[in-house]
Amino acid sequence: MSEKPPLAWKLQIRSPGVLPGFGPALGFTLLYLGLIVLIPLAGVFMKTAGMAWDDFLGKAFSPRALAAYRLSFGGALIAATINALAGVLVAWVLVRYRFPGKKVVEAAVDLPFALPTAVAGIALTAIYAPNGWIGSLLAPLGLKVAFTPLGVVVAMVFVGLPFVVRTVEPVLRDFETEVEEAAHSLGAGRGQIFWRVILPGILPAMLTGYALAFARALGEYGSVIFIAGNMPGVSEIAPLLIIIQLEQYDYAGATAIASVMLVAAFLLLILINSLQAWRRSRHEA
Amino acid sequence: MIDILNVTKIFNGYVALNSVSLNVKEGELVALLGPSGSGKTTLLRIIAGLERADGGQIRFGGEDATGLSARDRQVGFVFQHYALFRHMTVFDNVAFGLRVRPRSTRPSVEETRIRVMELLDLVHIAHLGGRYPTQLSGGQRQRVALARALAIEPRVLLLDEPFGALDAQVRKDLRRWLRRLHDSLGLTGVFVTHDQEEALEVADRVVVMSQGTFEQVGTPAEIYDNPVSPFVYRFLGNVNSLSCRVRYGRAVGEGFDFPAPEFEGIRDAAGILFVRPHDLEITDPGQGNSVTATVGHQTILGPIARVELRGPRGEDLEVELTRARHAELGLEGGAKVGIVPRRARLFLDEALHGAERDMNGADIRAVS
Repeated sequence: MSEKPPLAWKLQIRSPGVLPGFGPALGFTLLYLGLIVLIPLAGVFMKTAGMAWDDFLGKAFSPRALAAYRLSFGGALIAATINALAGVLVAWVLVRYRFPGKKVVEAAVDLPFALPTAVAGIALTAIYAPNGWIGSLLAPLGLKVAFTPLGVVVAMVFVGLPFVVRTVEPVLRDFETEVEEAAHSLGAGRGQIFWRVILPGILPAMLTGYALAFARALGEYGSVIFIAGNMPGVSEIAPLLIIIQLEQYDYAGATAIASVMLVAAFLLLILINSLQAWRRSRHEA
Repeated sequence: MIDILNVTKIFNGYVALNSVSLNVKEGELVALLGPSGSGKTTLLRIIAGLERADGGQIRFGGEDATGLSARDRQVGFVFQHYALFRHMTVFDNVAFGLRVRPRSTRPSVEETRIRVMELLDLVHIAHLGGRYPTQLSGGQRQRVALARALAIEPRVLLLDEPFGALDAQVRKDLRRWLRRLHDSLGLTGVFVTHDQEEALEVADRVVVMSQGTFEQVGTPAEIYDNPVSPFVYRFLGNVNSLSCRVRYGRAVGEGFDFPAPEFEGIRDAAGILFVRPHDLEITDPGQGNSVTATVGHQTILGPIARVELRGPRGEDLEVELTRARHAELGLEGGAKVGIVPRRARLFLDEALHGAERDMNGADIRAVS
């Protein structure tokens, strides 16, 4: 009919579906993300870009900074892993069993969301310090939690707990009992049903929760600094190092470390998300 | 093959099954037919071991299976909504039952592959082995569910509303195919349905259930031709009911007086005459044994015509005619006509309320 396709055709990236307003909606999304997320982050890189390359390398990859990255990323990965496993268990109990006080337990799961992180930090420190309730029990075993990297992981586990529970719980609740019954009548035992049927079903939700818990642990500052002890090179997390740089008016140094964290966190989150996308594509392609 | 002995099931004080007994013979395909809430699915789940009976026994081939879990019963169960494993391919779904076997009886990878391919071939979806369940149509999913259940070489195949979620055409094809498959495999099977047409077409024997009890057990022809209760009669298809009095072996109503020799001993009782829509003939009004009715809405349904009428006491009546006969009559809305039952079934009114169960009703042959 017409020789040239209308302009709208060429611009249309994907079909908008029944709801109108694809253009404005996408525009708003980009603007919003830009204002809230991208521009402030770009500022970090702008500041960093003002540094000389050697200067940047020196600040961003100093032994003290490297130790801080190791602790922050290592701790966050360990904490997220612990939360993924324990979170599935907690979600399982909340979905499958009825017991007195269940409402209280439900609410307790969300507590780490609501508590000011400093309060959490102080409470954890009080409990895990060598003279605290748990700390005094662990001390004879030679286990020190407060003021060590272990304490950092404990604080990270604490703040990340709700994520896995809350992402896995609805999926588990929607899980058809018929599917389990089918597996059962085909001869599968309880263990086989869990490993072969239920776990693969909740894995995507578990991964999402893992990514969230990881991100939260990585960015956590308030609760960690109370329990960490903050010894340079041992129990000093990267966010704290950034604050220390700022307090010394070394803005470039602070942004150098911040930009390394940003890039690394971004890459890790992309990795986790694409893992999920890959899994999903296998069922729904 | 399957013996169901006095099985009772109670859910929170509600009697879902009230001491029912049935024997399913080797190679037989039995339909449990009933409205929702009649206990048919509960009974199927008890046979499968997915639900525990509160009383009674289940035997497979003479052995008591009441205490066995579903896992140990070796039954193939096909769920209404298929319950496929969504994260597994069709192939892996079907192979599941073989792969979870204990090491000693587990077939090798190659044996598993051959067996699964045979099954996929059997249900005509060999080309879909690599797909995921979400990529399949309803009918294809049903076939996967069936192949998966057959993989464990079940002693008994149980199907819960096997065609419930499919559209009419697929449903029809699939049930004929299931019947043929059943015959070629010689399996013993029980399936649940609320669709009388399905039960009558597919099953060797039909169990009509209502409120946790068996209303009637028999071959499709027996059930259809000799329903023992008004419930069964109504459940097996559309029905017209005409109230009448039963007096000394005659059924007397507004405009008709039929002989009912089975009720010879009844002096005077309220009765109801049931007539199927296709057993009613339309004539001129006031001729012999005929009920006078007013023609209402008329619908053409493919090969037949359905005429709605209003009876002398305001009852809604329905007549099904061939298109040719309908054209010949040339009925007009509002016209008075006579309707004559060719074949009807008389029940005493008590039977309607379940008081007199053994009063089974009797056929009335109308002579006009």
